[in-house]
Amino acid sequence: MTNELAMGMSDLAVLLLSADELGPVLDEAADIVSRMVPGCPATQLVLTLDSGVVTGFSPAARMLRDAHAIEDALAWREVAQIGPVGGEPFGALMLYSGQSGGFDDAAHDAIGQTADMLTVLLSVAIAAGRQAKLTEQLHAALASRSAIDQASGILMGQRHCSRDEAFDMLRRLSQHNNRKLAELAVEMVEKVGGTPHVAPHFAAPAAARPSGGTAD
Amino acid sequence: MTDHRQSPADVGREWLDYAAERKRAGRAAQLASDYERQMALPPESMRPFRERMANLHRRMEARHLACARLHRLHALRLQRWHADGASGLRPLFMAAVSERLRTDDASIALFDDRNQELVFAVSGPTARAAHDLELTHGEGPARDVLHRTGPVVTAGGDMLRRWPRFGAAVTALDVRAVVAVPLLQSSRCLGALCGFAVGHRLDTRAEEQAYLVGDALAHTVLLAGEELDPGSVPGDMALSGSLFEDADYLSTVNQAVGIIVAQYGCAIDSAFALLRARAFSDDQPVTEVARRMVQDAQRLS
Repeated sequence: MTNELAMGMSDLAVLLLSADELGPVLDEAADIVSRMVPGCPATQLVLTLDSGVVTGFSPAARMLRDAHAIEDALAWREVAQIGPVGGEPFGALMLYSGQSGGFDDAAHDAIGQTADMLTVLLSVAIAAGRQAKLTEQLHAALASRSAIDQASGILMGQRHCSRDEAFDMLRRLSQHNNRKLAELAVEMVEKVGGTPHVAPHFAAPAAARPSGGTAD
Repeated sequence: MTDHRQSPADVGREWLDYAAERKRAGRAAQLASDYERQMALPPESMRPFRERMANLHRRMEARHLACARLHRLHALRLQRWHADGASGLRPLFMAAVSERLRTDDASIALFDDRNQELVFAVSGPTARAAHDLELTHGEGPARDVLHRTGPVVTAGGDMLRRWPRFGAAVTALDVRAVVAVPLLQSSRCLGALCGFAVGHRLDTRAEEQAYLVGDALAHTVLLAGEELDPGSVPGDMALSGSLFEDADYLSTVNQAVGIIVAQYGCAIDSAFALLRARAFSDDQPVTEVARRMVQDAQRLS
C-alpha cells in the first residue's frame, strides 16, 4: 500500500466522520481520492442520499465538466461502486485517467481499496446524518406537544372551557385556516405571552466528555 | 431462540427489536475485528486509521449490544406479566433501564436548549417522586448534568451540600445515592439519565453502565419514531416504542402554564417561574399545583 493511499484514508476518515452534512464536503473528498490513486486522475464522487443525488468533483474533474469534456474522457473512465458487497450500492467513484491506455494494475488496486474504505466510512457518516435528522424531528414532535398543551391552557384560561373543548377549538382553527396545529399553537403562545418565538433546539455541543464515554 | 410468533404484540415487538440490535452489533463486531487484524499488517502508516476504525466499530457494537439487552429484559418482563394474566401494573421499559444501571429506580428526561423539559419517563414511584421534586425545586441531578454536560455521582452528605432542597427531600425517600449522565447524540445534549439507589450505596459499575445505557438510549431507543408526512399533526415524527408509550409529556404542567400566560399575559418562562413559586408557597409539587389549576379551570367551564 502506498503512502498516498494510507494518508488519504486517514484524511477521508477525519473529513467524512466529522462532517455535519456530506454534500458540502464531497468536493474535498473527491480531491483526496484523486491524490490517493497513481496519476492523480480527475475524480467524481456520486452519492445517493435521502435528500437526493449529490456529486463531488476534484479540481481536474470540475475543469472537465466546465469544459463539457467529460463525454470525451469516457474512454479512459474507471467506475467503482460504493456499497456493501451483495447489497444495494449507494454511490460510485468515477475516475478519468489522463494517460493513454487508462489505468494500470497499481491504480486499479488503489481504486478498489479506496472504494471499499469509502463504503465503510460513508455508511457510518450516512447513518450519523439520519440520526441527526431523526433527533431534530424528535425535538419538533416534543416541542409541538408542549406548544399545543400550552395553547390549550391559554384557551382554558381565556374562555373558561374544558381541556377537550380547548383542543377542539384549536383543531377547528387549524382546519379552517389550513395551517398546522402546532404552528397555530406556537403563534398563540407568542401573541398572548408577548414574546417573539425562537424555535428551541436540543442543547448546543457538550463540553469535553469524560473518558470512558462511548459517544462518537 | 423462543418462537415469539404467538406472543402478544408488545412482546413480539421487543423481541424483534432485540434481534435487530443483535444483528447490528454483529456487523459492527465483524468490521472491528477486521480492522484489528489489519493493525498488525504493514504499512505502519495505516495503523492510526485502522485503529480509529476499529475503535469506532467497537463503540457501535457496545451501543447495539446495550440496546439489545434493554429490549431483551423488557421482553422477558412483559412475557412474565402476560403469563400471569396481565394482572397488576404493566412492566415499564424504564424498569429494564434501571436494572441495567444496577439501581433501584431510574428516570430519563429530555430538555430543549432553554432547559424547558419536554418529556420524562420513570421506572417506579421513587424516580417519579424525585423527578417531581427536581421540577419543583429547580435543582437536582438532571439539571446538573445539563449545566455541566458531565456526569453526576453523589451520595449522602454530598447530595445535601450539592442540592440543599432536593437533597433533603430525596433523602427523606431513603435515596442514598444518585448517578446521572447526559444523553449525548453527536454534538447535541438531549437530556439526562438518572439512577437512584434506595437504602444502600450505588453499585461500583453504575456510572460505567449509565454511560453505556445512556448512549444506547440517545442513539437508538429515543430515535425509534416513524417519520410522518410534513402535514401531519402534531409533529413530523410519530413517537413510538415502549419508552414513549410509558412517558409523561407534562401535559398538565404545560396547560397550567398556558392558564397563567392567559391570566398575566406573561412569557412562558415567567409562567413556569410563577407556577414554581406557587408550588413553594403551597409546599406542594409543581405537578400537583398544575393538576389543581387545570381542574379549577375546568370547573369554571
